[in-house]
Amino acid sequence: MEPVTQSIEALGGEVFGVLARGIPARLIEISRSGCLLESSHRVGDGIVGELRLEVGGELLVDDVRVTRCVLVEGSGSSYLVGAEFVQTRRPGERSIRRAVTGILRGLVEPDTPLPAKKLSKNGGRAKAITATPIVNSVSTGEGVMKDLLARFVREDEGQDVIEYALLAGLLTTGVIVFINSVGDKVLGYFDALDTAIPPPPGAGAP
Amino acid sequence: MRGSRRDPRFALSVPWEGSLRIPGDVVVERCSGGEVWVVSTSPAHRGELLTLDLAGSGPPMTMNVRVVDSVPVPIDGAVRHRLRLAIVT
Repeated sequence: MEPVTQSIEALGGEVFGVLARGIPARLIEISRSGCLLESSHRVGDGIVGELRLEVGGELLVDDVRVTRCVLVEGSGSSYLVGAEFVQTRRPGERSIRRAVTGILRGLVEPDTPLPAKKLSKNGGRAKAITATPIVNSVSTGEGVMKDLLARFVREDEGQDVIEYALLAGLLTTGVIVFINSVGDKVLGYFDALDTAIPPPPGAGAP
Repeated sequence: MRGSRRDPRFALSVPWEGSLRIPGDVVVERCSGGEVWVVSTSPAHRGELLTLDLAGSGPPMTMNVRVVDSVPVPIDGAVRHRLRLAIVT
């Protein structure tokens, strides 16, 4: 052990370090932005750590920030830990976020189904989906289009703008139909009026 | 109106096993005989296995350590914890 001690001494005057403890955790729910873990240890809110998961023989890693930790009633010392992914760097090859993206895009192997259930946004009743282990997370054109279509259906921002645009279109259509239907009648009215009015005296030949 | 959650969630019927690695800053006080004394902001349990990453003027190094002792000490008006760590690898 002396060589290690000498190596530490060789680091120079004041030596700083990071002491990391690994808390066993199981991932039970996941989304693009965060995850829900089950752990036998309590974790303080706001703590930032590195989440390491063993999936299909591969190690997936991502940084997370703990947002809440609650004791599961009647479980003794089992905690549910809510965490959000820290978006400080682009997801790498072994990123958990990238794995989630792969699941959503359906980049999966048909052999071993990944047992996953999709939950509604408000955490309501679960709906089964088919998902399998991630082959890779390379973006494909089909995947991008699926994402765009899903976002188009899901996102409801800009609703007011669409409503105003629909209203303006409806009004414009109404005005065009009204003018087309009334225009000929108005023209005929003025023609009849012009014919009915007699010319002024002396307005004939010069 | 959108839901309170941004993204759809997936519940795994077979949970993914792993660990949450939580780092904390320490300052090395001294080291001798295969043991390191550090000052930390948080305490540790005796016998707990931790990973220590060290950086100084030399090349950084990483080692596994076991907590031998954890004692609260007042430093600059704040409570800190002096940890005695035995180097495992």
